[in-house]
Amino acid sequence: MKITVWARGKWRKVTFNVPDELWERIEEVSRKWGFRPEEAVRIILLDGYLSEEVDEKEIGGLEREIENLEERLYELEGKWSPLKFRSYYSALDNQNLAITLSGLIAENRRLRKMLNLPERDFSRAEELIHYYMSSAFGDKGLKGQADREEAEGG
Amino acid sequence: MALRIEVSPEELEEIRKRKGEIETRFRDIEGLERTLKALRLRLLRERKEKLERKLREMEDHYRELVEFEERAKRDREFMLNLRRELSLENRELRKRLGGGR
Repeated sequence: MKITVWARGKWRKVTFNVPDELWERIEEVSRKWGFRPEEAVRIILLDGYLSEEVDEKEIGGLEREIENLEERLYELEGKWSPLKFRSYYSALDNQNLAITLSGLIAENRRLRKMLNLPERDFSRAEELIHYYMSSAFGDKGLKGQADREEAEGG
Repeated sequence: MALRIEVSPEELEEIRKRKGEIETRFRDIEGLERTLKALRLRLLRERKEKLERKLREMEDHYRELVEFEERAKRDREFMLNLRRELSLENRELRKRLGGGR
């Protein structure tokens, strides 16, 4: 294998002649550890070798852990997408309900005032109205997030 | 068979200076394997950390969504009850005011 090393703007190249048998070993070792032979050549040319000895069992263990993590992530993604969709529509439904409720509360206050009746306590309802009209749909809320994703996707 | 590798001009200069050393490295398959193993281990550790971080983030977000979904359900029930109650009460109050709507 003839390896030619070159750089832009430089006329002189550097050439290495690697015997085929040796090149086959380089290819074999590279693939065994998940690298392309070209990557191994770059290490040989530029980085040099590391002295650290690695336990192959540790590599095997890590590969299994990664596989397991990927499976968990895949599983979670499958559950997460429909839940996110449902949550968005729950927030939207509650927002519509909050709008209706807001009108009914205003009417109730007006009628009670006209009839000289004491005002009702709507503090919890007002808190919810505020939440579904702003917080749940703010930049950090569900709608804000959905809009951002739509904008990114488009 | 031929392979062309592009490097930066500075790297090319360095390779030219160290040609003998590099030729020795080409023959040292054991050293190459030891290095590739060590690099593989580093890459796997990085990948594992990245996956763990992503999984933690997704689990947190998933938990938030589950909590929100439960809250939204409770809130909806409260608001539906109040809407029903206020519709009846407002109708009653309008009647007391003399018919109205």
